[in-house]
Amino acid sequence: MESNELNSLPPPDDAFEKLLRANAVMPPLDDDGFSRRVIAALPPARRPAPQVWLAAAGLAAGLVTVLAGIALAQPAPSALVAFNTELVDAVDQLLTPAGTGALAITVGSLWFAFRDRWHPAWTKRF
Amino acid sequence: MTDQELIARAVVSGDRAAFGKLVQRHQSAVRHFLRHLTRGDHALADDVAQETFVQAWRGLTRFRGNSAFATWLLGIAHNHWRNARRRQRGIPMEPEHLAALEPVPSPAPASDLKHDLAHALRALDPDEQAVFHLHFQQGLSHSEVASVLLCPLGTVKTHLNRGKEKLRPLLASWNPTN
Repeated sequence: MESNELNSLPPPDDAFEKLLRANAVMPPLDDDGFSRRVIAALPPARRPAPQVWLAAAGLAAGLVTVLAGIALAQPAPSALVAFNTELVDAVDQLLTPAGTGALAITVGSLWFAFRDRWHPAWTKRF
Repeated sequence: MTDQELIARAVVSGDRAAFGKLVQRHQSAVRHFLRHLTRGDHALADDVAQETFVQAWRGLTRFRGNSAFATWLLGIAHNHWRNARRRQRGIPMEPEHLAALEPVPSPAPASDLKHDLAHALRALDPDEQAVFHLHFQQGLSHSEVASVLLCPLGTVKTHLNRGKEKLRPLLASWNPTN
């Protein structure tokens, strides 16, 4: 695409271009303590560990609540043929207030833990 | 150690020393660009440069590596400069500040051609100067300049061509094709 656009431009004056390029280059600036000042001004590093633990704890709490609810409601199935029925029942359990609450805790914990890394396009408007 | 490795260290373990190396590596480009944008106001340029790096530290996890780290930093710097200029709008300039509105001075003694070029650059519009600076003085490609200034690629090329056409007569005595 770029080459097409370049083709529409007037022919480059190589000598003038080289002249500009050779004489426009600037020598690098000395640091003069600038980096040290920047490092001193940095805010405290974010500690990801608590967020990870919160996410893990939330996930575990959600799973335990759901599994406990299922286990208390009925005995675990022993036959694979009952799998589909159990799955439907599990989903039903999720739709109870306890299951929904557990799911909300899990989703909320995950969102809290990773909110800094989640930047969907629609949030850029705000 | 590459930029990517230093960024990974800074992101994963909050390694300030790794980020410090990135600052040392890119401070010259960022400060040159901001000195250019502030037209030689070194103090303001360094303030904005510091804000740029602090913002980069905060948003380092959002750097995806789609562009060079330097290009990403220059984009942040340009954005901070626009915000700073917006804040300063309406504040009258002091005479000593006006005296500082010169093209970025080189610490080394300039050759006659470099001096003439620095003088000729004043004939360019601010947008043309910014594009010229990033392309010729910082060595960025057309698409990188467009990415830093958040403008279309065609606009960058137009600014460069217009700038060159303005500079050509001003530097005619140095142009070997004349």
